[in-house]
Amino acid sequence: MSLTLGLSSARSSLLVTGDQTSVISRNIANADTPLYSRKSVQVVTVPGSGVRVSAVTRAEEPALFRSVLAANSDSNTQSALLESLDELNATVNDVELDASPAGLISKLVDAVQGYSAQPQSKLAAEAAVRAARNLSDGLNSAATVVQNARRDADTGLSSSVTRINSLLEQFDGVNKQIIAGTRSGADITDYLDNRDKILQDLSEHVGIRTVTRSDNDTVIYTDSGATLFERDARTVEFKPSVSLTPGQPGNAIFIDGVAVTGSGATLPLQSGRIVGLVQARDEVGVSYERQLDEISRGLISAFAESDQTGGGGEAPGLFTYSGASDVPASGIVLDGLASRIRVNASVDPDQGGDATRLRDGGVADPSSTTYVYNSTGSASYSDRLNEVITKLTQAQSFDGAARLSTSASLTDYSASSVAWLQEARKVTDNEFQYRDTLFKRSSESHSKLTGVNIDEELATLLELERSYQTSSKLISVIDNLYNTLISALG
Amino acid sequence: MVKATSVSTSALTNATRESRVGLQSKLAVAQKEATTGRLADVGETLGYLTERTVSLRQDVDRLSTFKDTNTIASARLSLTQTTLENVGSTAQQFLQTLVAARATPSSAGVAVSDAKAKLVSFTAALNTAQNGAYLFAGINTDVKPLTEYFPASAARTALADAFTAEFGLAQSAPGVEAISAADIQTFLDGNFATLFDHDNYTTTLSSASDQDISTRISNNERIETSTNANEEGFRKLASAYTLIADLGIEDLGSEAYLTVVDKAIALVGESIGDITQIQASLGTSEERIASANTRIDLQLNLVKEHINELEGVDPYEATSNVNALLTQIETAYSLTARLQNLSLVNFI
Repeated sequence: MSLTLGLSSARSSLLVTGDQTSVISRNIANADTPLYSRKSVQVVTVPGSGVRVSAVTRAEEPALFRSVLAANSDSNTQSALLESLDELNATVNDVELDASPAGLISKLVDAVQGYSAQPQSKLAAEAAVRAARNLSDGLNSAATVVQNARRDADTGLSSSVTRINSLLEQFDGVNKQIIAGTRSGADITDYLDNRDKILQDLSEHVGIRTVTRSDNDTVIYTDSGATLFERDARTVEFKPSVSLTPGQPGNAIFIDGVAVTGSGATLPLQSGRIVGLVQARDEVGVSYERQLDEISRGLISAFAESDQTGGGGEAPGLFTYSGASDVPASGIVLDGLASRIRVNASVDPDQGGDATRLRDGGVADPSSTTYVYNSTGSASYSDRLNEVITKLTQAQSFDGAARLSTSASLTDYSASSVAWLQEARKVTDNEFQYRDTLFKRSSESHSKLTGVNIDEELATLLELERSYQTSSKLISVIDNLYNTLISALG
Repeated sequence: MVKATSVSTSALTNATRESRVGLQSKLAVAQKEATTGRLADVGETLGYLTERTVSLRQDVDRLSTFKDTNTIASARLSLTQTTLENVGSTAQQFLQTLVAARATPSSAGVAVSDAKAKLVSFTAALNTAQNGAYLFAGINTDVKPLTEYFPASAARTALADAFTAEFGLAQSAPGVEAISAADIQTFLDGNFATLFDHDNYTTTLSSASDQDISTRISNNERIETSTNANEEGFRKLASAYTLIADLGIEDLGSEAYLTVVDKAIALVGESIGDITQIQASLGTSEERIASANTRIDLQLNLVKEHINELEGVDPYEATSNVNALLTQIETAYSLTARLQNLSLVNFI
């Protein structure tokens, strides 16, 4: 072995050590960066002249990363749905507050019962009408809460779609760099980290699968098989609604012209924020809206006054609705009724009405005696009030489209509506806790295996220091040898 | 190089952070449960069982309302009973007066003035009101049920007209004493009785409704909780008082006088029996309300207990939960602090 060869080996070792040190400082600098993977230098022996850096590689766990993406999508599905359900829960709040439609109906029944025990009392009459107004206001605001929750979900969908489109745009750039870098053999590891970060962000909104082709070119499909990215980003389209029609689902999302949400979807998405939001907007929101509509319809028909002259007709009594023409048909949901239900002005003292019409009848048409039950005008007439109480606690038929039982008393129906919402919250929350834990655990395992451990990097750095010192020493020894040789020659 | 045992620094710090956050949110829940004694989020914990607690709460409201409204009905019933007792005992006294008057026709004047006074007090009794509602008006509680007979009333005029029509002379006219006992008997059983039949009575004397107030005293019990001045007992008693007070018995012949007094005695006797009947049936209503209230109290206790079973948490368990969580959080804090020191940098 010649001295020159030794010198060049030592020099190559210095170079490699330098490269390794720079990679270590990159690792340490990014120790806290999410999804940064640990880089290491591949060192190969050059026969006869030491070592050289062949490539920088990154710690990869593709299988684990796939499960991180899947868990992220699942957890976001549930979290989006849960947010919406919690928003809907404003209509119930703590059951102790009796603020739900069920609580307000119960208060109305009690007020009517109180009135029936002292029908001559104007105060009791007004208390009953006040309870009725609280109930109709409660139903109106519950309908608004549901509308808002559905609109929030719609807005959420719109921002998710915008985000997906911009992520796909970024992905396009990074993917091109990776392909070019792979072809030229450059260090693409940081780009790969970038790509993973973008994929994880994407999986938050929509469930994805990836396929990597030659030159590290990656294709992204949704979990339902729609292509999101192949060579180019595909457009995800969604038209947000200004206001959502009660009882009707909102607009669908299209990827590259193919519907992926809603009943007409050819490739329906399975997970991701989008799925949770669509569920909240079109399933939970619509069902709960219909339950409120059915409660309103039940109230209108329970208080409806029938023709006392024997005509057999019925007209809305204490409760009516804007644009009312008739008592809505039994057992068929009238979408949007909860936002339109009102207390009839002819019985509401605040609107110039007479509260005692609740006892006597004639709310439907104060100008005639057609709907007057108390024909003698007796002050302690309570038959009508008792009839109403009976109707409120008697089974009536409801539309199955509201996803509750089709025959129940109004009080029970409203209670089961509360239960329906709470059950949905419980189930979704449990599912979310589970999915979220799964995501956290898989992220943790992924980070454990691919992330940077500063102590380990430090230890390696110590090793490198030794190797650098030794190589330097070697160079100086060879230098001395040369000196000796040259002076011996001189 | 990947080792199966490797742990990245960020995984390590994240793990302690996550466990701290998790423990703190659990602590918030446990603290709320320990202080309120109820589940922190009843709906989310109970799920579909919320239907139970919502309808149990509806039951509590309903039962409490029944207790309140039953108070109104039982107050009305008890005042009605007291009034009826008064009316009954006054009738008993009148019976004694009549018996005395029968024995000594010369003291007829005493009976007449007694009858007048008792008719006034009878009218006053049946016009008793409570909270602005007349007790004996049936459901027509805003109108005074009986009109005053004296000094002038439709009923009084009707009696005078009927008398004149029957005998061809006015009550105070000379010749009245010549009316035979048989004739007066015919009058009493005929036209006089008609004056106090239901139709005439409700036109001339009473504005009460025949329909009694009915009250729902529990979920499926609706009972009558008042009576009305049109009941037969009241009509008979009113006719007996009127007969003595206003027929003019002082001017009648002694045979006819005895016939009238006998008729009055019979009417009062029958009315006492009828009023006792009414008292008995109102008493039944009172009893039903009392037993309904007892049942309601029992149910209320049960229902409240059931709500507590569903929504409540064991306060001891909740408190010990808080303590356990506090200990865990402290441990987590000290662990975090020690992990911070655990770095190779400190040793080189």
